[in-house]
Amino acid sequence: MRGFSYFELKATYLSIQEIIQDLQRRLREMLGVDGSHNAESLENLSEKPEIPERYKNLFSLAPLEDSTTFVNRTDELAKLKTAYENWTISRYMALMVGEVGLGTTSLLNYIRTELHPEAIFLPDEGSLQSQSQLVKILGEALKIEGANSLEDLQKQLGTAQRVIIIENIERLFLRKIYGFNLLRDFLLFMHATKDSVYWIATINTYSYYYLRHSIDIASNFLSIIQIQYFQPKEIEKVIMQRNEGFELIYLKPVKPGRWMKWELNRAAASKRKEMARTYYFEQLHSFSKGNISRAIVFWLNSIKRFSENKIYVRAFEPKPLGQVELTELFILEAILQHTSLTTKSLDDILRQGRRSGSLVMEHLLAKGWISARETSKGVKPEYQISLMYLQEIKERMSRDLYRKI
Amino acid sequence: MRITWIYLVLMFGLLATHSNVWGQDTVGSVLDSVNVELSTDSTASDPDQKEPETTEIQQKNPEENEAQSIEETAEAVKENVENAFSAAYELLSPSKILVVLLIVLFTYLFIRVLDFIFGYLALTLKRYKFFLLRLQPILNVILWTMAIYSAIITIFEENTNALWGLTGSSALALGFAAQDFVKNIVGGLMIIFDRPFQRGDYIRIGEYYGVVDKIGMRVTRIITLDDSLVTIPNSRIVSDSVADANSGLSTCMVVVNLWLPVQADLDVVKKIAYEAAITSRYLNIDREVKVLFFEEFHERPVTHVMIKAYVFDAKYEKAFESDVTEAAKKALGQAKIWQEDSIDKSLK
Repeated sequence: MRGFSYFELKATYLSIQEIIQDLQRRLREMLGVDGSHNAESLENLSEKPEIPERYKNLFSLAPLEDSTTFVNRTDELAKLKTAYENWTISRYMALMVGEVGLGTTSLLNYIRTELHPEAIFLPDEGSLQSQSQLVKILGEALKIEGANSLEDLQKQLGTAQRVIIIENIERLFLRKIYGFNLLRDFLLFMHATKDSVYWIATINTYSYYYLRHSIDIASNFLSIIQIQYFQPKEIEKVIMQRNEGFELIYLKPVKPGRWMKWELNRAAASKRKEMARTYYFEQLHSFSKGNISRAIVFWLNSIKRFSENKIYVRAFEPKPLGQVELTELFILEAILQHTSLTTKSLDDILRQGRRSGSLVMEHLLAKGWISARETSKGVKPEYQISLMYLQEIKERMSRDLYRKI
Repeated sequence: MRITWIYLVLMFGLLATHSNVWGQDTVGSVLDSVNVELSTDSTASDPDQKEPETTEIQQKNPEENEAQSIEETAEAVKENVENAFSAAYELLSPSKILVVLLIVLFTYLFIRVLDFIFGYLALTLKRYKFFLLRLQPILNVILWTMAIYSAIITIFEENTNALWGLTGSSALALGFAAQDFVKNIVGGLMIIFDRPFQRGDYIRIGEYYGVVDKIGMRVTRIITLDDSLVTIPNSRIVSDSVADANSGLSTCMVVVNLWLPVQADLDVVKKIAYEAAITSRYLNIDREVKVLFFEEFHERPVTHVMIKAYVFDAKYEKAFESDVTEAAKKALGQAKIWQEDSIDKSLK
């Protein structure tokens, strides 16, 4: 008998959950007791608090620069050290694979400050389409002038040993005919210079899944390090660390389950607080699924009241994704494959006429499924998947497009 | 094939038993009594007891005898007709008919509900869509068999003679009068249990190609690519060869063909063809993409490029083909593979 893979079981579990939710919703509609949406919106309106900027900064989604606030990534760092030792012998490059929002940039910042302070860092500053753009960025980072091609850079690089970290290597490709040329050229450049350069590249999980099957990107790297999801305790630690100096009050849920209601009624006051806290973090972990950025989004949306040093939080109830059309799913997949996309790039990928991309992007923006991304170039905005819906969109891709992610 | 044999053996056994039983005079009481009474008279079967009476009658006035005989025959016929009606009434009493109708009705409704549930689950649990669609017709056959069995038991109760009589007559009637119907039913059973294809598969039967919409007991319905509903008798499906594109899987292989001038740069063509396939939104990225070349002659020598790839869902087969052809053609045009002079050169 054929066995069931993890992805199949996961997809089945999620589908069953969806069926139950759908049936519950239909039943509520039939009985005319479906007032949940109104209640939620009214509550949000009345309880949307003003959060001070200093507090918002504590929960910024920007990568961490300060290594003291960095949460332990023992496994990944140990693997990276081994990869470096391997490089000294076999001269192979390292690739770090991680989901959006897992704190990859923070990890790179930590590597730059603690492991390889001399490393040259090439941050993700948007999609690159031509070799000249890439050569310019590399030339600036390596302080090499007058190079017009990757071959020129290779000649002028010399034999001095260096560590170069390149963030989001997937920004070098575009899913179209000839769209893989730049990435292939860069991989060749990495191979040509690996004797003197220890290359560390990062890639988004979904791009890696696509490029592994389409151009076999994995064969270029001897060390492939998977950035793990955070454990619930680690996420809790991050949240509590950033809330130091504040008194946290966990409000009981708006609609507690029968069992919880009964437990709350018979529990002592101190026990009730503990129960509310436990319930809150259960909801947070269920939403974040080990993704630290999603946990932060959940926390910020859970704040109901902010007074001096007291913060009142109640488990946030995210809006369901709702119906996703196939064309929308193709677009979301394309965005996820490239981390972020401009409307023009989207038109190229989907082989559609100009302006179609803009129209669809506006539509998805209105739904809140994507958000505009700040790029240092600032010429054309790039759009990325909203962290709020990242998990649900991945599940839809697995279910409707049969992608094994 | 095995199912056909089992079915034939069963039917043969049934007929054999039926003829045996008929020979031993254990046929249904209704038919039996009516036949015997209408043939001659009621005394014919017992000559020993009735012999003296006959002699006495012969000694009486022949007119009186005749009148008496007619009266007796009429009475006997009346009695037998009454018995036959009473037996028929017993066999098909209104309560039994009501029960049978209820059985049929509930089975029909239950199957409709199951159809709805299976349809809903197949839409939601997409990974198990084909398993569910495979299960559904089997369940329908089982339910109908149970319903028919229950109906027969309800009507005939302990009266096996009548049951055998009906079975024999039905088998004969079906055998002679409804050969095609029987062939289709047998074909339907074979399709359901032998599973050469299943609901949701893309199949080709003769000139028709499309997705299997319904596998019935008598006919199979497929929806062609131009959205026509084609009804094909199951007997034809069983006797014809059937090509199944996806065999119960969501994915299926699609072959995209391109014909290029013989002197086309194969490295460029291969790169374009491969990238046209791997960048398509309909691609099943988990399966390998292959580009093959063949030299052929169609009025002039050509290079036949064959792109073999899989789509994530068989229903996007043609969309994928079109998408890849369009992208490849544009890129080949930009790479000047289509130049007219190159075609002329190939002609020369």
